Amino acid sequence: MPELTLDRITKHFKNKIAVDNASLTLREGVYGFLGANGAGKTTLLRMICGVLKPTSGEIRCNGTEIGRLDGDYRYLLGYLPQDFGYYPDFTAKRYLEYLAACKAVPKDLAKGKVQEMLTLTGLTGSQHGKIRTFSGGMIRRLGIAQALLNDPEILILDEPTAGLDPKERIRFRNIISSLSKGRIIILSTHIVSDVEFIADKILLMKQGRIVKQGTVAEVTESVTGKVWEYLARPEEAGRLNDIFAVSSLKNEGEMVRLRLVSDKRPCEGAVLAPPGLEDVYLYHDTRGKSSKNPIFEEVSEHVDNLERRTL
Amino acid sequence: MVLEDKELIRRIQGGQTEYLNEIAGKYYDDIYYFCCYQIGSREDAYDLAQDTFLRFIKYVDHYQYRNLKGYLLTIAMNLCREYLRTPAQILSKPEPLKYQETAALPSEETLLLLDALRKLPAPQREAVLLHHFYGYKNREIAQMTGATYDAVKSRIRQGLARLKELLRQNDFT
Amino acid sequence: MLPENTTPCGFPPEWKFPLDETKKKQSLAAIRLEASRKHIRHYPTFREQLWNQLRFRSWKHWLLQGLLLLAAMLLAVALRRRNTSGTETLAACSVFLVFAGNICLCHVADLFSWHMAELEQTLYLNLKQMVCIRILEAGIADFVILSLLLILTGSGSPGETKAALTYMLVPFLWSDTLYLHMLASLRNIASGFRSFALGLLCGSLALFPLLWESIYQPGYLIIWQVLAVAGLLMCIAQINRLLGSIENSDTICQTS
Repeated sequence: MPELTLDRITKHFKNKIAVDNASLTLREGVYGFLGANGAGKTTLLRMICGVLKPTSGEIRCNGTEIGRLDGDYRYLLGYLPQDFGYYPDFTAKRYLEYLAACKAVPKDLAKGKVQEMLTLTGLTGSQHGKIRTFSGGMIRRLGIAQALLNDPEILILDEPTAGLDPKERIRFRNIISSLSKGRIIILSTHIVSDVEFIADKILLMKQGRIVKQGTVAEVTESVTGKVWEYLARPEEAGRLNDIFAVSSLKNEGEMVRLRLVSDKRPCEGAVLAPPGLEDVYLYHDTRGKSSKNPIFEEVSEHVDNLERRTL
Repeated sequence: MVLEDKELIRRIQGGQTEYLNEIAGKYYDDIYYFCCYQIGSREDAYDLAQDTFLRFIKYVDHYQYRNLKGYLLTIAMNLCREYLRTPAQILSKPEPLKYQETAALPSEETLLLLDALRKLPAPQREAVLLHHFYGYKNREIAQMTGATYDAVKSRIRQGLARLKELLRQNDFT
Repeated sequence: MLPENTTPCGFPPEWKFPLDETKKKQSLAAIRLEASRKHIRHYPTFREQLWNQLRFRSWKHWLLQGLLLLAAMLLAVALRRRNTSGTETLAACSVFLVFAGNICLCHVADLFSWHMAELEQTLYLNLKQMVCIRILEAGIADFVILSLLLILTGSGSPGETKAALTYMLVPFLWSDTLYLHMLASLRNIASGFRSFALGLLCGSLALFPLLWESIYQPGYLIIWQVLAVAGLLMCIAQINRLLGSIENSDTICQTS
């Protein structure tokens, strides 16, 4: 069972600090990195994979720096990059077989392993199709299949659900849950519901720092007393939405039920509500920021037609 | 279907670890007897035989097939050396000849042989066991034990003479 | 082999005795447990890795390379038959070798296929090792073609062969340098286009000496030799740079 230690990791790009002094110890379990785009998740994951070298600090696997472990470390690794690359001319099957060879999967097992992964990700039917003909969701699933090929003890998935439809997302969550025994799984996402039910530990990232970490319960605990519900008229809802962080909007007849995250009671008549992970995300993400975050804007867009937004 | 050792190793190294059990089943007895005569304890030999295979499993990825039984015996030999080096074992008395519940007691002769072998110095005992019990050639034993050819030869000769002497004293027929 | 249960030298016929089956079973169960937990670590040999890189080449590559080899032979035979002047032979062979070099290096360039580099860098056989293996393979293929050309066109005397070798190597090495340089710098251009444009560019450059026929005179050989050495050094420097850019990996992660 590997143990990963991130010891004061910092990464600078020219004039930007992408990851700022992150320290962590990872053991068996599913870790969900939550954060807006540009929070430093991808950079951090790339460093854990050994693709990028930290500007300062050290990443150790069982006490040894991962650069020194070299191939022995990569042997344990399964990685799905955010922008997943492929050879467009390869068929899915051939592509997986090629990667299996590069991952030093024993030859006798490779063929079976490839089929197993194709079945797992529901690509058996299209295994002889060229990758260039695949849809975005299929390519993502192929990416998940390749990451799992060598039965990795450290599995790192960067935005694994990007481009997946709701049904595929559920399938993905089930796959991850079934794999979580005996390995470290790290997944990054900006979609709360991806990790809410499967992550053993949530790590909230903002501007290169890990601002909050703990189990879902521990993390949500931190915003108890800061989540409010309020039934408003549509025009009032629009006004509140401009001022406060709104985590959900629901149409109830003529009125709109708002869910707001705020340190203080946002308005007369608002009542406290039990917090969810999404509220924590919103709370940390909007604090100290003058401009709205993308998700926040997404909410605003929906104010007009007042649809139930599903994240 | 009985597979050749070489094929077994090839399959194991190809990832089919279930064939490790086949190797254990095939050579368990041989390794057990070796450990038993080497350390003189019928009880502890089970543990040592087990440890031999566990250690083999640990290193099997790197193993380059030559002579599997010899390799296993070499592992067993090293484990026995470690066992004998532990002070507690040297001090322990010969095992009482108690009846075991499920196994028949070895014959009187076997027990005497066991006892006589205990009295040999360990290197001589190794050499005699490997040569006379397991049929290995002097050169092979030299390789397995890391001793020179001449040393092995003299160990076997001296060990055998001493063993015969001990057995004669015990009125061994 | 010894007969069962006997030892030589008048030893007791019974040195084997029945084992305690319960204990043996317990022991074997412990072994079984360990075996089921065992995760076999496969260490591919160098030969296996070379083969793996070749095994997954597309048929187009093979076809192209096969055609290239065939063309090399035909070219050499044709030149010999028509008894063309030495200068023309050399120029033709130079251009040919440049094309061959570029085609062989294509396989290296493929590794930098769309966003693939980042993933490849995390594989057991990582990008750097793959690049090394493929450059080695390209080198071997080029060497075969070069020897073929030399054998078929060579006039026999070692001095002349050496000179011909130098003449052919200069454009070859410089075009490879250019190719590798472009690979390290212009990774975003579609690979097919890049290869094609480069091939054309290098090929035409290799034809340049034809404009000054006197340049193949023995007197200028020293210049050619200097160029060849410089080309070799540049080529090595470029390979080094490519590997360095992988190692210092900020550049291989293309941020979209």
